[in-house]
Amino acid sequence: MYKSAITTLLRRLASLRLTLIGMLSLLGTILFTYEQPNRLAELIVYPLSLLAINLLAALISNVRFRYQPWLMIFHVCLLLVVVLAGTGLLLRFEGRVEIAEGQHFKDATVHPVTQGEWYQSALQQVDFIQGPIEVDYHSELRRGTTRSILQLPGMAVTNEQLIQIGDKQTYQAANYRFATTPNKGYAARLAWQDARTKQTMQGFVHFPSFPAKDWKQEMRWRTPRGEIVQLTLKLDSPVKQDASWTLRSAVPAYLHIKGDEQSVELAHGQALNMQTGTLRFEGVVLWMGYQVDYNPLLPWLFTAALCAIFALGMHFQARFWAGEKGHQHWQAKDV
Amino acid sequence: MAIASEFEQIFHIAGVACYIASAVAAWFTGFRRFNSLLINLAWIMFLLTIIVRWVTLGQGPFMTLYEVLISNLFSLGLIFSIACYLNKSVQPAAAALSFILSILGIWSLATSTTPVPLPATFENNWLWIHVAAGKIFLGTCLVAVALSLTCLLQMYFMRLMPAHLRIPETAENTIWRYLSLAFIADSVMLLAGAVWAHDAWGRYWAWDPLETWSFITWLVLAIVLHLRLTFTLPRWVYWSMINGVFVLAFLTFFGVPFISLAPHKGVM
Repeated sequence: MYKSAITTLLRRLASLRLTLIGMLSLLGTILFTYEQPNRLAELIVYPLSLLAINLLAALISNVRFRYQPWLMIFHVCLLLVVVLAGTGLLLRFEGRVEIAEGQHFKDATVHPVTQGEWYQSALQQVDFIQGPIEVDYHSELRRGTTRSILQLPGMAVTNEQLIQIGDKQTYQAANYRFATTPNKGYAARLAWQDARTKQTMQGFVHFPSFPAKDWKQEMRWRTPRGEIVQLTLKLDSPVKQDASWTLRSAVPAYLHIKGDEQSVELAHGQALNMQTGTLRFEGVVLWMGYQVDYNPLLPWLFTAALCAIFALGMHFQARFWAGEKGHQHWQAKDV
Repeated sequence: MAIASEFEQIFHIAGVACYIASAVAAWFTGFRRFNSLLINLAWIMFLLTIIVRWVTLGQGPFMTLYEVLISNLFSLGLIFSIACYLNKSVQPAAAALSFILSILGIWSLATSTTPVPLPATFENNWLWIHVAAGKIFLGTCLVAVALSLTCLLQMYFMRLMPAHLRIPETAENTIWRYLSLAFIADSVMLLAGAVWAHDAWGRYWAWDPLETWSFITWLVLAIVLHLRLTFTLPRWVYWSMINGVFVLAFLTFFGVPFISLAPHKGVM
């Protein structure tokens, strides 16, 4: 009696009509939330859950799957795709980070863009030093190839042991993926010596994206002792609009500093004595904006999707393309 | 550059003219042989158009509506020719196919040929797989559509149709063969597109308008195949649904990327 009730329930849940209802409700959900992608992420769970339950019930109760192994593999993989995509959303992380040439990744701040509820940071396992950055430009400021050299910790600085990433190559560590972005620019390398403690600190001030905002290379900056100054980077060579050129750090530049009481222009190596300390301009380098992604399930999701397509292809081959048998099946069902 | 552009224009116009001529020839029994010859000539003309443009610009036809149209006019004609070679029962659908391709050809003549540079991040191997799968999807879908459209016309206007345009009963299975192939190619296109997007934009799926409409097309195609495998409906219902799938795919390929403001804009 109990077993019979379960069997009946399973058969009802495995119904092909329910599959159709699930597919139509998935279609309806996508169309209903077309203008609101965030709402789609909440609502799509319901039709996908219905389809997953329907599929699971069918896999358990439908004997047709036992005679059609490719169809069964396709459906199992499809179920896996849904589960892996859903779990991936809970585990994922996406962030942005800007790193200047010569800077350690661990000293940079990663700004989160999205992160799943189950995400646990493992960024402390990642480290590299940003090496030279180069970006090619063609006429009319059309961006060409981006090259960013990374030095991994413990590696000697020889060409053979450095890695180059760019438009087609990412850096992957601890399941994080670092991809270069079009966002990059100049950074002033500054050294601050406190007047009271005589302690020296070094760091970078990143200016707005270059050449996208070449007309606005300025930044308000707070010294370690809390004074606010206006920094303006003055580059000697203007941006070329009608020729090919390469963006790189070795450019002559001056740093214009405007505070409450004084306004000076520093060349490379010059320093400014302020009330609370001394600010030394140590040169100009480039910074690169990286997109940081984390989704450890992506390779599995890809494999499951690929297996699903392959299995469906094999099933269709047997069903539609295998000579007369396929024909007879269709003829028998025709109205 | 100017000479190359002239050659591109000549091949383009010749290709469109071949499709229009094939659409006309398909209706006359005496010109049947010319029909397949003209379709073959048309896709060769579009292949030459693509080659000249590619050599001139140094990049493939991926960015503008004009480039997407000429590359599809090549691939759709080629896939139909292969289908005709493999299965004679597809040949009567040439009239419907030539008519659809003629409209696409006339549209391509009216679109701007101004090139748009291909961003460096877009150019990777997955783009090729994504685009190739997309072409196979649309091509095989078009074969199924041309057959089902002819079947529908045959059902309602039997007396008006020339004998050589009537589709034999065995073609019914051919429609589903090509539609199943279209579904596989569509699935590969979505998967390769996701990997490509991950490399080009750093996310594999974000429900932007093109991704949403691509998924809707895939889902509707899945519903049609599911209905055919599990329910028994009158044939005209299936034929109509197949035409509906093509309309969706057509809008997804030639409409959404060029009217939306998402990152996919102008990129196939």
